[in-house]
Amino acid sequence: MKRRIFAVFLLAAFAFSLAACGQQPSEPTTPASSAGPSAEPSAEPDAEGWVPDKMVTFMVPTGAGGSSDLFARKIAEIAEKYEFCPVSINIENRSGGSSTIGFSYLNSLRGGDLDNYTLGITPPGFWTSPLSGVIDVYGIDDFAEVSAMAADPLCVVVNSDSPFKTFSDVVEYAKEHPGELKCLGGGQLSDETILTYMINDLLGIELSYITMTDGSNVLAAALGNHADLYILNPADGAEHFTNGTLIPLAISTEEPVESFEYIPTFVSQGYDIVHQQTRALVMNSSVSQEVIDFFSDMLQKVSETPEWEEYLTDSGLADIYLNSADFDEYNDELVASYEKYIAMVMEDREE
Amino acid sequence: MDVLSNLAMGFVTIFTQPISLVYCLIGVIAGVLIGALPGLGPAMGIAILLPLTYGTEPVFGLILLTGIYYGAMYGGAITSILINTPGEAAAVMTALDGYPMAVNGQAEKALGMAGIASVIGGTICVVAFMFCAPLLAEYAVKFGPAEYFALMVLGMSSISGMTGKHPGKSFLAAAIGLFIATIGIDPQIGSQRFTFGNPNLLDGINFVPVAMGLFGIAEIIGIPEETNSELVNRKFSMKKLFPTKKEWKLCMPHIASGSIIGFLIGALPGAGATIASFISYDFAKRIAPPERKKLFGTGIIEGVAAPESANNAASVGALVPMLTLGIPGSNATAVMMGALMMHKIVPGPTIFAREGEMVWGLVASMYVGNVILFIVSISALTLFVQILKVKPGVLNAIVLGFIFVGAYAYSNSLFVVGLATFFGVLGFIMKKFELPAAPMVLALVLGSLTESNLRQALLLADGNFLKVISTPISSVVLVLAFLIAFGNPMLTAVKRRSAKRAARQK
Repeated sequence: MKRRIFAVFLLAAFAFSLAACGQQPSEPTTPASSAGPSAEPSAEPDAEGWVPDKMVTFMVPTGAGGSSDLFARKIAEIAEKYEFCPVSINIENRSGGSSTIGFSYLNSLRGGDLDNYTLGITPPGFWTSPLSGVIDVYGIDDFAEVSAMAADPLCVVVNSDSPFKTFSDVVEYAKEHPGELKCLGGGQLSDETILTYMINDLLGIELSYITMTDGSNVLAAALGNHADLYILNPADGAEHFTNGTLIPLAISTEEPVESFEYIPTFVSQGYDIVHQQTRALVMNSSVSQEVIDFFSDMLQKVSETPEWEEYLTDSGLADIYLNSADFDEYNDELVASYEKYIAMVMEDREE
Repeated sequence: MDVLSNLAMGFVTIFTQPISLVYCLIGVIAGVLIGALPGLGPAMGIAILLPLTYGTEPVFGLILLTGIYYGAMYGGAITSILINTPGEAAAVMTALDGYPMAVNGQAEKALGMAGIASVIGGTICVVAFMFCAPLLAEYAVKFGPAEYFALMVLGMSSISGMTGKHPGKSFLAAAIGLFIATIGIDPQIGSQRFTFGNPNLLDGINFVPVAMGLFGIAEIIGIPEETNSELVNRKFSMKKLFPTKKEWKLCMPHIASGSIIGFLIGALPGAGATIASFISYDFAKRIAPPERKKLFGTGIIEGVAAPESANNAASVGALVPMLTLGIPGSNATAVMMGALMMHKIVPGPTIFAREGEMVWGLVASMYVGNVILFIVSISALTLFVQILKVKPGVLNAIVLGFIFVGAYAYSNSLFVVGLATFFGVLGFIMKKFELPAAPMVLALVLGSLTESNLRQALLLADGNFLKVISTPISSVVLVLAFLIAFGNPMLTAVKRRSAKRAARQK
C-alpha cells in the first residue's frame, strides 16, 4: 500500500513539474535562445552609459505563438546571437483583456526593481484599450517609447467573384449606395476598424464595419464570399492572392511593401489613406533616458541585421525602424489619429 | 491512386528517418500528459514544446506538434474518467459516463474504450483526410456566420438530450451558462458587460476554470457524503481494459458515427473538437436502442466511445482548413500554424503541391502516431489506474492541488484559481439541487459563439432574421436542430392523440 501511494506521489510530482513548465513561457525562463554563457555581464561595456546587469524581459501581452510573441522572440534571438545585449532575454506572456492585463503589469513596475529590465511589445490594444476607455488604470503616457521596429500593413480584399475589380470601383459604388457595402475585419476596435473608419471619413463614403473574432475568421469569410469587402493582413492572405481566389485592391502603406509589390497602395490610386499597425517596444515611463538609449541602440542594431530583414520579408511586415526620439514624435501622430477615429467609432456605436 | 503513391512516399519519408518516430513518440506522450492535466490544453502544450521544433526539419516539428494535439485529446479523457475533472473542453462529455463507470468499478474498461475509440476515430479520419482534404476545404468555407449560427443552435439542441429526470432543471443550468457567456467585452461593438471594471473579466469567463470547479472541485467537496471507499484495494487486470464482444457490438456504430461527426465538424474552423464531442454524444444517445438509451449518464461504455472517437477525429479534421486554407480552426492549430510559418511553410491551397513531402510525411506519421498512441495509452493505463487505489482522502488532496496548479498555469493569475474555487462551490450547490453541470458548460462554450455569429449574420443580412435562417445550409441545420429538440415530445403527442382516436373509434 505504501509503495502505491509513493507511486502516485511520484506521478503527481512529475505532473506538477510539468504544470510548472506550463507557466514557464508566461513567467520566467524560456530564453529565446540557449546562449547560456552570454548571461554574464558583458566584459566590454560601452564606454559610458547604462548597461543591464541582470536578465531582460520582453513582456508580450498576448498568448504564446501569436504574431506579437513571434516578433518578440525573433528580436531576442537576434540580440543574443550577435550579443547586442550582455544579458539573456526572456519572453514573458501576460495575455488577456485586449492586452490590458499585460500593460497594467508593466505600469505596476513603476519605480520597482524590474522597470529597467522589462520591455513591453505593443499590439493594437496598447493604443485602443486606454484611448477607448476600456481601461483607465493607466494611459499611454505612462509608458516611454523605446523603438518602433516594424509595421503590419492591412489591405482591402474582395473575392474573385466580386463585381469590383479596383478600389475606385468600390468607392464609386459606395458613393451611390451609402451603408450598403459590408466590410469584415477582425476585432471590435482593431486597426481593421480604424482603417475602415478612416476610409469612410476621408473618402466620404459609408462602409458598414462588421466585427469578426479574428483575422482567420475574416479570411474564411472572404474565401466563402460572405460579405463585400474584407480587411486582411496581407501575410494571411498571400497564398490566396497569388492563387487568384482573393483579389487585394489596396494596401495601407505609403510605399508598396516589398513582399507584396503587386498590391497597389491607396496612395498610388489617389486616395490619401495610410494606416498601419505599429509593432514597437515600450517601457515604464519611470525609467531614465540612459536606459531607453541602451535599448533603443540595441534594437537599432537588431534592425540592421540580415536576419531581421529576412524576418520582415517572410512575415510581410514593413520596415519602419524608429529610435526612441523619432518614435516619440511618431507616436504623438499615432495617438492623435487613433483618438480621432476611436471617437468616431464610439459615436457610431452609441446610436 | 495518386493518393496511395503519395502516402507511400510519406512512409518512406518517416521510416528512412527514424528520428521522426522519436518525435512522434515524444509528441504523443507529452500530449497525453498535457491533456490529462486540467488547465493545460493542447494549445498551451504545443506552445510550450514549440521551441523544441526550432532546430528541426519542419516535417519533424509538425509531427511532434500534431502528436501533442491528438495525444492531448486522449489524455483529457483520463482525468475525466478517473477524477471527474475534464482535462480539456473536448473531454467534458467523456466524464458524463466515464466517471460513473469508474465509480462502478469499471475504470479500466472506460479508459481502455477511450483509448480504442480515440485511435479508431483518429485513424478513420486520417484516411478521410487523405482522400478529401481539398474537397472538405471547399465545403468549410461555405459556412458563413449564418451557417455557424445554425450549427451552434444544433449544438445547443443537444442539451435536450441531457435532460434526465428534470428537463426544467437542465434548461435552468443552461440559462446560467448562457448568462456567464455574456460576461466580458461585447463581441460586436466592444462595450463591457458585467465586468465591473475588472480587467480579468474583459475576455469573459473561460470554460476551463468553470469545468474545473463544476466537475472537479464540486466532486471533491461532495465526497465525504458519498464515499467511494470500495474503490480502494481493487485488483487491476489487463484483461478488463479490452471490451468484450458484446461491448464491441454496442460501441462500433457509435465510434463510426462519432468519427464522421468529429471529422466534419472539426474541419469547420471555429467549431472544433468540443462541439463535435457534444453533438456526437447526443447523437449516440438518440440512435441507441431504447433499453440502452435510458442508461446514458449512468456509466455505460457507449457514452465514452462516442465523444472520444469524435474529439480525436476532430483533431485530424481541424488540420484540413489549417493546411489547405491557412485558416486555423482552434487555438491549438493557430499555434501550429505559427510554427509552420516559422519554418517558412505557408499553408494554403497549393500546399500539397509545394510541400508534398512534408504533408504526406505528416499523414503517414499520423497513422504511425495512432498506433503509438494506442500502445502508450494501454501501457500508461496500468499506471494511471493505480490512482484509484489511493485512499480518497489522500487522492482528493492531490487532485485539488492539481486543479489549483492547473488553474494558475492557465493564465498565470490567481484570479483563475479564485474562479475555479467559486465554480466549485457553485457546483456543489447545484449538485444539492440536482442541477446538472453539463448543460451549463455546454451553454457557456456555445453561448458566445452563438451570439457573435448571430450578430454578424444579422448585420450581414441588414437585420433580416428570415434571411439568416433561410440560407440553404442554415435552414437544413436549423430544421435538424428543431427536430432534435422537439422531435420526441411531438412524437409522443402524436402517438397519444392517435391512440386516443383509436380508442374512440373502438
